[in-house]
Amino acid sequence: MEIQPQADGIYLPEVDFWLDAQKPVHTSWVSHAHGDHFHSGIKEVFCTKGTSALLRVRGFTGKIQEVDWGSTFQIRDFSFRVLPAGHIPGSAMLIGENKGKRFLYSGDIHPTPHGMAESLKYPDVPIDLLICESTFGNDGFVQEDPNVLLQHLLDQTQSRPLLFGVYALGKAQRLCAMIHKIETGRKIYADSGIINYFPVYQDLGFDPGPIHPWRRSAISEKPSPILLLSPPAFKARARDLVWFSVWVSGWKLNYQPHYVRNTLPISDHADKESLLKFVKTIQPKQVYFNHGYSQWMENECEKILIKVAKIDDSKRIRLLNS
Amino acid sequence: MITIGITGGIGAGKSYVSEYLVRKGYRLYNSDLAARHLINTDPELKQAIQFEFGTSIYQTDGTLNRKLLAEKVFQNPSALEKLNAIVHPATIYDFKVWKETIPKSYPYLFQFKEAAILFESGTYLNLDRIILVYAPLTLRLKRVIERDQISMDTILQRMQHQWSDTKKIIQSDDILFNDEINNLILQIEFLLNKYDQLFNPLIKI
Repeated sequence: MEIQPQADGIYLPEVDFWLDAQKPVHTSWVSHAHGDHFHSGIKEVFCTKGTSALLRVRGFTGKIQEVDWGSTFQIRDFSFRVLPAGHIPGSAMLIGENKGKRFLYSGDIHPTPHGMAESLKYPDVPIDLLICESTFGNDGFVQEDPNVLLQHLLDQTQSRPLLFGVYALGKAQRLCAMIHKIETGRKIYADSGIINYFPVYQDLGFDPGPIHPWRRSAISEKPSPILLLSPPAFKARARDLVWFSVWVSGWKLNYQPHYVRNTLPISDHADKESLLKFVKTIQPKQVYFNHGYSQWMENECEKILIKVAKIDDSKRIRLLNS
Repeated sequence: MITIGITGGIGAGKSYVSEYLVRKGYRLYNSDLAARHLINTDPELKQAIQFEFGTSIYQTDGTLNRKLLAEKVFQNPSALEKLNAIVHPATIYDFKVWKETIPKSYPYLFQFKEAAILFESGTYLNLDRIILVYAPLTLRLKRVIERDQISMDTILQRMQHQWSDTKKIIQSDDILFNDEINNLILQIEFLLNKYDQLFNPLIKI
C-alpha cells in the first residue's frame, strides 16, 4: 500500500483517491467541513452525513457520497471505514485497508468529549500506519479546563457587554453551549455567518442553545449582552471600548491578533498530552504526523519505539488556522 | 528542493506561466529581472560593463541605458559574448544563493527558474527538469510587436541569438503549448499534478 503526503493533501496513488485534498481533484475523502480540509472544486467527495450538511451550508456544489458511522465503502480494491473524531459534528477518522495492510487517517481530533461533536471512537483493529494531525504537537500547548476559564471571565465582566471573536464553524457553537451551561442569564447574539450553522447542529442532535441575530439596540440590555463574531467582523469591532473583547482560540500561544489584549484558549484539537495518549492507545507500527508541529511528538513516539515516517518540513500540508 | 527551469523563445509566454505559478504560491527566480537588478545595483558589475561599453552606457540616475546597450550588442556578436561573460557569472551566483535560501514555511517540493536562454547559456545543466513554453513563430512575432512596439526585423535579429524551437523541444522534459488553441492553465495544472506525484516521496506499508 502506498501513501503520498503532498503539499495539498494525502494522495493514494494506487486508487487515485485523496484524503482532505485542498486542490480541485476528482475524488477525495473530507474528514470534516473546515475550509483547510476540502476544496470547492473537488468533483466528488466521500464524507459523513454531518460533514455533508455543513459542506452544503458552506456552498459546496460537488457530488457528495455520504457514509454512515461504522459502515464501509469501496474504492476499487481498497475498503474504507469511518469512526468519529470528536472535533466538530460529522468529523471523522478514516481506516483504509488493502491486502491485509491498514492505515488510519485521523483528520483533526479532539479525544476528550466536549458535547458539540460525536465522541471520538478508537479503532478496534490493529493499525500499520497512523497518519495523525499534530496541530498542537509541540512542547508548549496544554489545554486548561475551558469551563473554569470561561466562568472566571463571565464573572469578571458581568456589567460590561462581552464580545467574542470566534471561528464561525465549531468554536462559536461550542462557546455558545458552554455559556448557556453556566446560566448567566445574558442573551447571546451572533452574526449571520455563525447563526447559519446552528440549524445543522440542531438537526445533528447538538443543540448549542438559543442564539439571536445581532441588533444595535441590544447593546444597552441588562444583563449585558454577549456577542459572538467571526474573525473579519470581530476585527472591525474589537477596538470599540464599549465592548470587553476576547479572542477565543487554541492558538493563544502561537497566534494572537495584534488588535486584542484578551484571549480565551479553547481548542477543538488535541493538546500534546492527549495526542500522545491517542497514539499510545492505537499503538500503530508506524506514524506520520501532518498538519502542524510534530517535533515533540516524533521524539516521544521514538522513545516508545513507534517508527516515525519523517518527511522534510517543506513537504507538509500547509498549516492554516482553523 | 527540486528546481524546474522554464524557458521559451521571445514572445512564447514564459512570463504568463511564471506569473500564474507565483500567484499559486510557488517560488520563482526570474533570471531576466535578477540580471537587470544586478546590472543596476552591483558595483563590480557596473564597473565591468562601463569598462567594456563606455561610461555613457549608464544614465545619470545610475541605471543602465538598455536601448543603447541593445543597439551595441545585438548587431555585434563579439560584444554580446563579452556582455554575457560579464553578466552570466554574477546571475549564476545570485541564483545559487536564491536556490539555497528557502523559507521554512515554503510548503512545496519544487521551485522554478525562468530564463530566456536556459539552453544557450548552459545553465539548464544545474536544473532538475525543463519546461519549454512553445508558441508558433507568427504568434510570437505578433505578441512582441504589440508588446514592445519594435519592428519585425529587430525581433528576428534577436531570435537569431536563441536556439531554434526544434532544438529546444528535443532537450526539454515538458512542453506547454501556448498557441491559443490548447488551454494553457489546464496544461500547467496537469504538469503541477504530475510533478507532485513524481517528486513527493511515498510511505509504503
